[in-house]
Amino acid sequence: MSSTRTPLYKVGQIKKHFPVLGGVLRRTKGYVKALDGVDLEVFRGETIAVIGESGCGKTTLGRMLALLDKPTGGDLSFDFGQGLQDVTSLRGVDQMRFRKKVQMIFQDPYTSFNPRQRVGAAMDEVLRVHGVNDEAERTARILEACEMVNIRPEYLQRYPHEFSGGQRQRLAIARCLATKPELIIADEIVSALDVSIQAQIVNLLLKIQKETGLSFIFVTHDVAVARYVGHRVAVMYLGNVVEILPADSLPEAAEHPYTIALLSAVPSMNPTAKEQRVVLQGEVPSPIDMPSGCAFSTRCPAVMDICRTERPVLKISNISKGDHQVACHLDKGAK
Amino acid sequence: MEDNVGWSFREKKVNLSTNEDLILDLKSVNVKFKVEDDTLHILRDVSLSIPRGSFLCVVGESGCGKSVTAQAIVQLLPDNGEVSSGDILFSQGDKVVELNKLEKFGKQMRDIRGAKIGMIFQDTLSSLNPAHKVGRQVAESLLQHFPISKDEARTRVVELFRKLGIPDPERRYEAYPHEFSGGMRQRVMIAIATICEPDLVIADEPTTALDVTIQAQIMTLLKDLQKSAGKTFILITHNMALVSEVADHVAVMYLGRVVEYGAVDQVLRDPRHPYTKALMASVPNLDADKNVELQTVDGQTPSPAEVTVGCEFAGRCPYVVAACKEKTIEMTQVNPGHDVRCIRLDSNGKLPILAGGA
Amino acid sequence: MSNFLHNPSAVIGLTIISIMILSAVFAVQISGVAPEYIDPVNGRLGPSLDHLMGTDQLGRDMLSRVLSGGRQSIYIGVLASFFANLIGTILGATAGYLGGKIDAVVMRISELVMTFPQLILVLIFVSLLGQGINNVIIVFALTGWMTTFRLVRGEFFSLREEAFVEADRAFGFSKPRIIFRHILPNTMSPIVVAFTINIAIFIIAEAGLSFLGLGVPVTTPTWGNLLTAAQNPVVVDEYWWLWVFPAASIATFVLGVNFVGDGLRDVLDPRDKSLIAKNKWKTMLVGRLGRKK
Repeated sequence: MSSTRTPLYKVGQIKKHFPVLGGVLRRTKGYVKALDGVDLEVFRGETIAVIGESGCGKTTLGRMLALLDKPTGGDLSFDFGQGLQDVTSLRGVDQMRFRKKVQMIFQDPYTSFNPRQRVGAAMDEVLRVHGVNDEAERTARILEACEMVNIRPEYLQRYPHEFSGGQRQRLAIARCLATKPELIIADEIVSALDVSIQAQIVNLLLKIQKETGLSFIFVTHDVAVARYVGHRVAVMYLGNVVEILPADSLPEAAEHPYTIALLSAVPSMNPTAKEQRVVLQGEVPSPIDMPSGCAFSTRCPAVMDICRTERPVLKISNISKGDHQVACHLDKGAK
Repeated sequence: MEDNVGWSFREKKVNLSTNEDLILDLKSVNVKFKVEDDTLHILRDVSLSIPRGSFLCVVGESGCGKSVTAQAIVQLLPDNGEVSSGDILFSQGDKVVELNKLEKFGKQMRDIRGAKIGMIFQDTLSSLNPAHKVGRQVAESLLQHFPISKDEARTRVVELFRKLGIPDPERRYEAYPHEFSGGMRQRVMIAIATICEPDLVIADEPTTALDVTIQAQIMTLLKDLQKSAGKTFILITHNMALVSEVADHVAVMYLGRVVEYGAVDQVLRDPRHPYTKALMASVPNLDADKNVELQTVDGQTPSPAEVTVGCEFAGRCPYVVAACKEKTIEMTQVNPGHDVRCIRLDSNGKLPILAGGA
Repeated sequence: MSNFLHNPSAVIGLTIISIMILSAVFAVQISGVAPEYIDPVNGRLGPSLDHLMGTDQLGRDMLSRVLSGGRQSIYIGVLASFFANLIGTILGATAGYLGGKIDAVVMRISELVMTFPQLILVLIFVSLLGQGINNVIIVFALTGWMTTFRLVRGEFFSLREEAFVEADRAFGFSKPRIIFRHILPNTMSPIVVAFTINIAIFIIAEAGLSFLGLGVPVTTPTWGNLLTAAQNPVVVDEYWWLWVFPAASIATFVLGVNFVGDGLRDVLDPRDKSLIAKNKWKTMLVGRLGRKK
């Protein structure tokens, strides 16, 4: 594990439990455990793709990392340049400093801009709020950002509805870039776009990373895009990260049974792809009714007794070592 | 792991002979929509011949008209749309019916809709009535078309639920749509679409909003229905990888026109139309080479009002020449069963090499 | 704007209220005589060429009184509506955006005010503050903000979940900035419509109040207190011009305002028309079948 590098953003056992109230007295009946102890490290200049299906908590994680939601447990720490610092307790100016460094792009391009505000004015406002008081500097930064995303400067006078979905996502990227962040969280930013437009955005993100050395947290449900875009891929299931591995080693190096099932369910154009696929039975259990032990134990084809009682911890894989972490009891009995 | 093994989708594809038994034949279908003061030409000369028992996928991006094609077949176009010309021929046993000539909500069409042609939609939340129990909604379809008792209908529905993998079907019969997950709701939709045992099932992006593992389950179901019950499927989707796994044939659409058609192995392994090629190259596969940039298509799909003459793709095509914009392009056969609509193909049916590589 | 002018009832409404406002402003010039001018000799005369709307018991010209009554009534209606809307908007925006305890408190207050029979409330306030035009406005503003409040609160509840609001939060915008600079402009259309409708409501309310003698004292004519004449059944029967014209004025103006309000509602549709027009054909095709996950 890259122990020599300090991560840019460190997530330590993040939990987000939503209380479920019920009954006349509105007592807490139980908890929806959207995130149940997530560990993650993001390094400078890398893209981590976070994948998982509905209910896995990847969107909650993204929002938490952008400080749009407060965690109910665990730590979030960010490296501003002098080592890791806790960010959940930041307020006021310090929080602003964080927000300048960590930006977010949302899924729906049609509503992520104020419909009544011209896009140029929207970007300008962001910079003003972040303390860039010199008008010339703001304009320069905006133009630079627009150039990087291939939006012509004269379009800045327009309203959001005059742009297509793909253009709006590019504008959203530009809006983030103008603040010169170090990390951008992209929450399913291509899911609502046509396939050929998705390719435009993906290529753009890769280009931006090459030119600026930004880090990205790329949340998506599309496994193939995740593998293509990310340096590492983190797989989530029911509020936990079950596996983190280098994108290039997908799909062969996948170890966690859920990852394997997920990968095999992805339709492939490769004519020599596996003849047989793992089709998981049943549905994802409700996050209120979490199974004890490993969350995947109810559907895992390789479930053992210990899986039902003891929750596996994310640790370096015994099999592939290196930059590969798995949370699975199977790993103990390494071949 | 045995229980979890699903269908191998790469089984032998449906064997086509030249004397095909067609279940549905679209001949030069044109659909126009009236929007405010304009008339938009949404479907342009769409011709599709679908053999009985086969699995056709209609692919394209937003605005290509694939959903409208499905709506046109079952005559469920919105009020401002109509089939302006062409024929939609549906083979019912030994009779051939011209669907577009039937009265939209007349008895004949209503008999066909649901009983002979089933439809599965993408958005299950709004396609199912939230105020009614699901069992009743499925049974309703049955009771509308067959003179059986309510109890008999219930039995059949519960049996179908069981077959489709809905656990605890007796109890789930009494449940409401919002009590189901997305994947289960889609199974309910499939139940509604197939309870009357139609010969043709049209599915419009049924799994687009579902997780990929659920999608695998649903696709397994549909292929099962094709194999075991000999049903014909038309699947509308934008997911090329899915197409490569489940389809026998594929029709690629752009701005209302079918630009390429053929057996799935032909079209996907060897796409000839510039749009098809671009589409295939813009989607990263699980084993995509990360050093190869995804291919993109400049600009975006124009509005139908903007393109009235010539090839619809001309404005964005890297192979475009002046002749492309002059008149309507016809389909040419590049291989038996593989048709492409492009004038830039040479005598071997291949596109020229572009200067600077393509 | 052009859409508005295409709507026939909206144009009619606009014409009506424009004419009435102008005639209210130029009441004296139009009628040729001051409303207070007493001429007991010519009292209780029916409509004639000299006095188009007749005279009252003190010989005052009714046309003059009705027109200048309009001045007061419209003034009251507009200002009361403005302040009621202001209170409702501010409270609605804050409660709607912040939610939680603040929302609960304000909601309870609004419910309290709403459940009190309005008349009782008004009586209480009037007895506390006394009569007079400005007091009437204050009373109306304090008792009539709840509908706008509910409206704005509802809008804020839905808009605060929008992606651009989330983005604003992610950018670290302060709450006041988000509420007033970003969300509020997107709620202007329903607020404007509520404003016009409330004008009509308050004019009628004033009429009722003054009719009961609780609103504006008779020294300054308003449409409402001109109607106090109709408290006397003899007047209703024999001197019909004393109350028919004020009543008709109220009805006409209110009708006009309602037409304008309806027209505005049609025009200021929150969904931006051009967005739909441009991508309409795509929206048609995608329809309710929705987008991808």
